[in-house]
Amino acid sequence: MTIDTTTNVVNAATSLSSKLGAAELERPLRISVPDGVEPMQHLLTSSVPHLMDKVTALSNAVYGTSTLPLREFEAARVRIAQVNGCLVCQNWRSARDIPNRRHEQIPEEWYEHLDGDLDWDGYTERERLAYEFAGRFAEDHHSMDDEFWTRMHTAFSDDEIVELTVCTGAWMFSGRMLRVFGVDAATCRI
Amino acid sequence: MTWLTETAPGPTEHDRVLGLRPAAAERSAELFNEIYSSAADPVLLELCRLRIATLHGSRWDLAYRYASAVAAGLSEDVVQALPSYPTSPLFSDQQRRCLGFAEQYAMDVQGLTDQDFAQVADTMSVPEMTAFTFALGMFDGMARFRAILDIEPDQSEGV
Repeated sequence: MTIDTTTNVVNAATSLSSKLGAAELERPLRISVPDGVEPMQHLLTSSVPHLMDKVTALSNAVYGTSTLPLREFEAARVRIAQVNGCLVCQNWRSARDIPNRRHEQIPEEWYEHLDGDLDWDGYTERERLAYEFAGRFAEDHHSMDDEFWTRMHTAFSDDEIVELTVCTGAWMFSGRMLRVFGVDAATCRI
Repeated sequence: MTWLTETAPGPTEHDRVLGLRPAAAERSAELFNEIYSSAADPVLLELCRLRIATLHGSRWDLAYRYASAVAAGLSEDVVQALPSYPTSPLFSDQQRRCLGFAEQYAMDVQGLTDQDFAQVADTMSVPEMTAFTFALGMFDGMARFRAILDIEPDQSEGV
């Protein structure tokens, strides 16, 4: 399966624009983009096409082959989006934006509680742990102490932990890329 | 040694761990190869990768050297001096700017300012800056991955 990454992230960003404050939307675009060209499109496909082919292949390997339940996948992904401050990633919905996961629906309420209400009874322990894992991965992986790993090993197999780690690393990469160049905010302004 | 109890077959611990997700591992390796083979300055990339590895505590990354960086003149004396890069005479101004940017990227990307960005971007073309940032993203993600899973370097992989 091949995912049209650029089209999907533009769609995700555009639908977020009405929810954002002015300060976020006004973050500067840090590259020059030709008139009439969408910033994300320009960055991803025009600037470094030799690398973009490889990045797309890696993205497809992560998104297209994941065996994690979608809610756990999304809990970790959203946490990385929050840490990176990437607007596109925060509005990405994998059940909507990944073709082979469109049969798995997650209500918007589930996403809303990820913003500071992890005690919400709609989450499973694995979903909470996936969210916590991603946060520690991104903000302070040195804080992953024995107590944390005991909880992780109780809930996840080693194989699942490796998959979660691979996915989380890939999200860190893509979200930070968009954030650094400001193309996430620029795309939301369209 | 990694704490994982399940691994795939392979000659090194790195191969055995990444072999659990072969598609992602292969695509990641291809991207790394492209990053280094197309880099205008592979030594600069290697210094940034090793600095990020130090911040994240990735033993594998600290032991490994990409061949293209070594071929381009990477010096172990410079590698050893990385902790003092802001003041060491072994580093050029460009290397200092890029290493500072790499640190900020790895530790707090939301705190990266327009000035941080400009002091590196003003010295590169847009494709070079994009490629450099792509590289930092991969270095950051993979160093965290290897540190968290505690992947140990094999003797054949170390310097």
